[in-house]
Amino acid sequence: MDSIVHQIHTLSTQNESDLKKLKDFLRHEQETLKANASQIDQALQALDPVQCTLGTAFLLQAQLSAGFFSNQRATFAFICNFLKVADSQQAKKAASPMTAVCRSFAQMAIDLGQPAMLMSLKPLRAGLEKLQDTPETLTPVHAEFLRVCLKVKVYHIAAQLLDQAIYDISISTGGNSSNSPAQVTPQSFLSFFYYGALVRIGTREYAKAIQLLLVALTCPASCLSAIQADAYKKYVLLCLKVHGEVKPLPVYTSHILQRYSKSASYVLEIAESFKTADATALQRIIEEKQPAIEADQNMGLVKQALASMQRHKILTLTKTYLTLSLSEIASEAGMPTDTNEVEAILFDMISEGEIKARIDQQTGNVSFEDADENLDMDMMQKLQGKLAKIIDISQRISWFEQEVVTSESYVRKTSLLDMSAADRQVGGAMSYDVMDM
Amino acid sequence: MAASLLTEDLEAYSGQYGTHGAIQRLQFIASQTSKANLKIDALKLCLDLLKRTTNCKGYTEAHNCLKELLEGNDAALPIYDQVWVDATQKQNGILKELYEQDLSQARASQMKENIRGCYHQLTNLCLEQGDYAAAEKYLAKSREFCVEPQAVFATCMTIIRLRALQRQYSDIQNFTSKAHHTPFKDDSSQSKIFAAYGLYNMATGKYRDAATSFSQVKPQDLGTAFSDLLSPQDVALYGVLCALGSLDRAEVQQKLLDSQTFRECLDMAPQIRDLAVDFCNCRYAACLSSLGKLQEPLSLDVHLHGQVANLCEQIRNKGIVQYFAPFMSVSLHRMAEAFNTDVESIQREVAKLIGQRQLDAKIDSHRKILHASHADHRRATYQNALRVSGDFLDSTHALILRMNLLKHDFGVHLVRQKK
Repeated sequence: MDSIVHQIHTLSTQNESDLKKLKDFLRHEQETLKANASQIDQALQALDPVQCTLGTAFLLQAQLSAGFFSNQRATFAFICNFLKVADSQQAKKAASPMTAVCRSFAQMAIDLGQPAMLMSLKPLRAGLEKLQDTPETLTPVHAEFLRVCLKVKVYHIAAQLLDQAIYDISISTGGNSSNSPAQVTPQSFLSFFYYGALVRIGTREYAKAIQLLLVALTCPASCLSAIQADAYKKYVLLCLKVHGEVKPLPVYTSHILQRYSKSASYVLEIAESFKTADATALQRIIEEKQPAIEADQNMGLVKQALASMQRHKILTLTKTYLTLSLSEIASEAGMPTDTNEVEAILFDMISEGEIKARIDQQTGNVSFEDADENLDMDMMQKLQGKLAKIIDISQRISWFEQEVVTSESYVRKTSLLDMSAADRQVGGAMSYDVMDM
Repeated sequence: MAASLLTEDLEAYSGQYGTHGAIQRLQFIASQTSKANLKIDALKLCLDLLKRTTNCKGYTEAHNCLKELLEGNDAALPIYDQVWVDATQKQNGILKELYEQDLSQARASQMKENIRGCYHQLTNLCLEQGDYAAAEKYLAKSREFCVEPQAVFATCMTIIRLRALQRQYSDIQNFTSKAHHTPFKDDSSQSKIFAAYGLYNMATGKYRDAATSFSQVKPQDLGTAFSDLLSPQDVALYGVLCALGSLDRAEVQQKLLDSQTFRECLDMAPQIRDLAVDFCNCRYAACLSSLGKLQEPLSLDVHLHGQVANLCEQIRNKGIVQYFAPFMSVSLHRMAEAFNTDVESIQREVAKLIGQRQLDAKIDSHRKILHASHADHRRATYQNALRVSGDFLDSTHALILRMNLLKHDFGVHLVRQKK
C-alpha cells in the first residue's frame, strides 16, 4: 500500500508521460487496492486531492467498489471536497474512475437522505464540469445529477443544467473498451433526456419537456429501450396537454419506435378519444386502465390532459364565436349543464392569458376578444432573440461543413469522382456536382 | 334518370339505357331501396330485360329474389321459364365451342384481324351472359391483336363499359387516357372520352374535374355504345351536381348554362336545369329544397350512389359561403330563412364551416349575427415567423446532436456479451 502511495506522489507531476505511467500502474494495481480497501482511508489522508487527483480518484473508486467504509459520513464529506477541488486536467485523464466515483457518490447521497442529497449537488456539478471537454458535451454524470435533483425535487437547479444545450456526447477516444464507465452508454444518454423531461414537467415548461423527450425518442435504435417506451407514453400525454393532438414523430425516428408507437396502449386510446373530444370516453378509459396508468406513474399527466381537453375546446370556440352564452360553451365543451364549472375554467384561462374574453355574469354571456399583444417592442425582442439563436446554429452548421469538406475521406472520394467524370466527359453530361452532396 | 325516377316510372327510366345498363341499374335499385313496391317492380322489369339476353344465372337469381319478396302471393309471381333457361344454356355452350374453334383456326392462319374478330365474338358472348369478368379476359387478349387505331379505341371503350358495369372505376382513367391518345378520332369519340373521364372523376370524388369533363360532352355523340353507362340526362345531372359542388357561381354560369352543347343536355332534364339556374341566381332556398327532394332518388343511381351525401353537403356549404361573401355582417335569422332551416342549425353549420376555415367569419351568438372577420395579417405574420423559427431551432438542434451520435455510431443496440 505504501509503495502505491509513493508511486502516486512521485508520478503526480504536470508531465504527460508521468501521468500516463501512473494511470497504467494504478489500473494494474486495481485488484490489490480492492483487497486492501481497509487501508485506503489512511492512504487518502496522505494525498493532496489537487496535486494527486488521478491517484485519489483511483483509490476512491477501489474503496467505493469494495463497499468498505470505516465512516460513511466522513467518506461522503471527503468526496464532496475532492470533487470541488480536483484538478480538471487530471480528472479528464482519470475519466473512468472519476465517473465511477461520481456515480457511487450520487447513490450514496440518495441513500443518506435529503440533506446529503442537497449537499451532494454542488460537488456533482463541479465534478461534471471537470469531466467535460466543452459545456456542450454530455457525460454519464449528467444523468446522475438530474437523478439526485429529481429525488430532492430541486427542479430549478436541474433546470440550470438543462438550459445548456447538448450537442455532443463524451466518448473516450483511447483504446478503452466500450464498458468503461466514462463512456456515455445508451442508458445514461436516454436517462439524461428522460430525467430532463421530468424536470421540465416539474417546472411546468411542457414544450421544453416535449423537446427533450423527442431527443430520447429519436435516438438511433435497433431494439426498444424501456426508457424510450416510457418516454413515448409521456410524449403522447404531454402533446395532448399542450397541442390537443399528437404530433407525428420525426421521419428519422427509428422504425423500432415507429412500430412501438402504433402498438396498442392506453395512451393511444386516450389520443383517440381526444380526436373526437369525447370527455366521457376519456373518463371511462382512465377508469379502465387505472392500474396500468398508475404503474407508469402517469396518473398526474393523464389528469392534466383530461383538464386540457376542455381548454382546447374552448380555445377553438374563441376562433369561431364573438359571443357565446355560458350554457352553450358548456354543451360544446362536453360539460353538460354545469355552467359554474365552465365559468371557473374560463376565469382560469383568462387570468392565465390563454384566451382574451370577458364574462358578463348578469346575462350569462361570454364575449371573446382578439388577443392584443404589444406587437412592436415585445415582438421585436422576441424576434431578435430567435434570430441570434439561428445565427449561432447556422454558424455551427458551417463549421460542420468545413470539417466535412476538409476531411480526408471526403477529399479522396470527390477527387475520385472528378477523375471518373473526366473520363466520361466524352460520353456526355455527367452531373457529379449532384453527388457531391 | 332521376327525373323519371321521381315519377316512379321505372319503365321510362330503364328505357333510356342499353339492356345491360338497365339491368345493372334496376338490380341496384332493387338492392338499395327500402320500399317493397319499388323493389318488386324493379325486379319484374329486370326479369323481362334479362330474358332478352342470355344471362341464365342473373335470371334465376332475380327470380329467386322475387320469390322471397312475394312469398305467399304466387299469383303476382311471374312464371319461371325453365324451357328458356335450358335452351339458352345449351345454346351458350354450343356457341362457345363454335367460337373457340373459330379462334384456333384464326390462330393457325395467323391473321391478326381474324384473331381479334374471334376474341371479339367471345367477348360479346360472355357479355350477353352477364359474365363481365370473363368478357374482360377475352378482351384483354384481343388487345394484343389490335392494328388499326379505331380498333384500339373500340377496345378501350368496351373495357370502360365493362368496368362501369362492374362499378370498378379506378381503371377507367387508365383506358380513357389510352383511348385519348389514339390518333384519327372524330368528334363523337371525343365526347365519349370526356364522358368516361367525367364518370371516373366523379366516382373518385374529383368533382371539379368531373364537372369540366361532363360540360364538354355532346349528347348526340354518345350513341348506343355508351347507353349502358350514361344517358344524356345523366350527363346533365352528374355535370350539374359536380359543378354546383365544386365551381363558383360565375363558373357554373359560364361552363354549363352558357355552353351551347351542355344546354342541349340540360334541356332534356328541366328539373336539373332549374336547380342550376336557381343556384346561379342565388335562390338558395329553392335550389336546396329541390335538391333535398332529389336526394333520395339520387342515392338510387348506380354511379352517383356513393357521392350523393357528400355532394349535397358540399353544394350546401358552397351556397352558405357564397351567400355570405358580400356581407360585412348578416343576421342568422335571415340566413336561416334563406337556407330553409332554423337559427340553431344554421349556427351549427356556420360554426363547422368556420372550423374548417371555409368561412372567414365569427359568430355573435348572443345577438345571432354573423360578422366577417378581418384577419390581422401583421399579427399573423409575426406569429408565423416566431413559430417557424422556433421549429427550425428545435429541429436543427436535434439534428446536430443526432449527427454527432451517428458519428460515434451510438444508439440503443443489443449488447453482445463478449464472454
